[in-house]
Amino acid sequence: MTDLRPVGEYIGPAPVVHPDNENYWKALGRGTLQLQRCSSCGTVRFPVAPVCYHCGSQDDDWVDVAAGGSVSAAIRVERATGDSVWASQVPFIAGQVDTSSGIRLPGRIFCECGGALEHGATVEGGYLAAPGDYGVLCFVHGCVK
Amino acid sequence: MKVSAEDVCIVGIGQSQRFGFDLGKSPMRLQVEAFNAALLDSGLGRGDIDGFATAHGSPRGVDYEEFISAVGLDISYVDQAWSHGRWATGIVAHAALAIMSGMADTVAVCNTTSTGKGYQRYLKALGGSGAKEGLRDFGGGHGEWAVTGVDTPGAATSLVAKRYMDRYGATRDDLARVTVGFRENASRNPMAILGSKPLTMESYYDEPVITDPFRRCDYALANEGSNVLIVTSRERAADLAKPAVTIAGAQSVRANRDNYVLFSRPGLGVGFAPEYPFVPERQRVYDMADVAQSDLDGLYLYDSFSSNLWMVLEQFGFCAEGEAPDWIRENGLSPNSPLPVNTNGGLMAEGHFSGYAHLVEMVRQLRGEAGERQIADAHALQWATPWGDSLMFTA
Repeated sequence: MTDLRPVGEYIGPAPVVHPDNENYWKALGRGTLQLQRCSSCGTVRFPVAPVCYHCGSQDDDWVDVAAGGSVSAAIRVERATGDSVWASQVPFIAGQVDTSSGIRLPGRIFCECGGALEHGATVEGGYLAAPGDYGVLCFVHGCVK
Repeated sequence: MKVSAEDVCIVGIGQSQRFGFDLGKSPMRLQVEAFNAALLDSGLGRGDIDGFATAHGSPRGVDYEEFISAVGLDISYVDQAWSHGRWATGIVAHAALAIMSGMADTVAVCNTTSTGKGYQRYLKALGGSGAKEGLRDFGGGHGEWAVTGVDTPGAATSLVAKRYMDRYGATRDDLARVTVGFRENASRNPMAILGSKPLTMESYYDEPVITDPFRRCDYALANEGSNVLIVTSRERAADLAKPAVTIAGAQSVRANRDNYVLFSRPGLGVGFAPEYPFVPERQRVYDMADVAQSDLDGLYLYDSFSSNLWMVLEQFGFCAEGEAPDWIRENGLSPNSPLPVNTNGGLMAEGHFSGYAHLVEMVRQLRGEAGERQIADAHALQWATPWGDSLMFTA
């Protein structure tokens, strides 16, 4: 349902993957965003958790979720002051996107024109391939061919 | 002996001899300096201290057992929070509760920081980067999430500032006004690390951009130093030389999905918190202290980033949502402003001591010991953070 646009190899600190959350990362590795939907009340949740924040149920199903949407806020990182792995990537844009599925999600935003820094800019969902057949969610502005 | 809430007070303050980026002194040595200064200030002896409360420093201070053993104290009440700047209110409030309940008579509240470029180079890091909130599975309370590249509190908070600027039309000059105001306050504080480095609305723009819209000077410092406060009952304080400062009110960190992103505020819509028109809740610290906001003589906040002041002013109801930049432009931040803010220079200009140096400054101000930055006739001062916790000190 939600085929994400492949953007390339992921460069960054390795995702923290363990049995509770592995499906999230594996689905992204296949180009699909999946989140948990509560079997009891139907709330789709982020972040991944073994419990529903709305009703407390521990029963859930993984469902496909649309990742495209509009930029809520985006920043341009000019200097890598945290993990040194980002030094090879600066400057880059990252931010949060109000997806069409109604859930706000964070990620890098690939954009060459700077238009993605504007609130409301339209972006599509993408993924970066990480080792272990995992994937990392990102977003892509329309200027990127 | 049980003590009423209104009868818990601060009777001693002390700081390391200097604050700086690389003081050449161990956290233990810095904390002993501050502890001895606080004892001297209070007129108490080592044997009078029977309670000890510390947040372990950020990134690394002194563990309670190590300190108590080294100094030779005999302590019957201990409280230790983790290595993070979030617990200044909690540590002081718990010290007060310990005195109220009779678990302790006199508590030393201690906090010390060292840096990777300073004394930590001789020490094993406490947790190191592995202990950072950004390595939680899906992002930490600062809003950072490592795999997005927004992997530092500064980057995450610049996202908060950007959202705020987009939503309410705040400008880069509005951010600069906060940073420049705190720097100017620091110029009147001999302990302030950036006290002799002036910053103007023009030179602000010469500072390098780290994560747009934040420039280097929109960040708090990473530095070394120690702060100690001694808390006891009013009955005990009556025998002492310095006027007691009352801990008149307290409220905790607010914790729910609306408040998970710490340097934001509810309703702004950052991280997974929802976006909605924001009206502040009634803040219980004012009721507990019986101090109206209009009676405040000064405001002190956790200013790890310049935009934090916008969040605190709106979260505590000093102004309506989106109006903080106008409030700052009209009010100013100096000791002579209608409501002075961070007269010490704060985390951004005095140094990042997680709030403990702010609390020391509040005691100084309420005693009338703040020199050229003294707030005239100061009786009630509030400590507040973007994550909703607060203390009220009165004289």
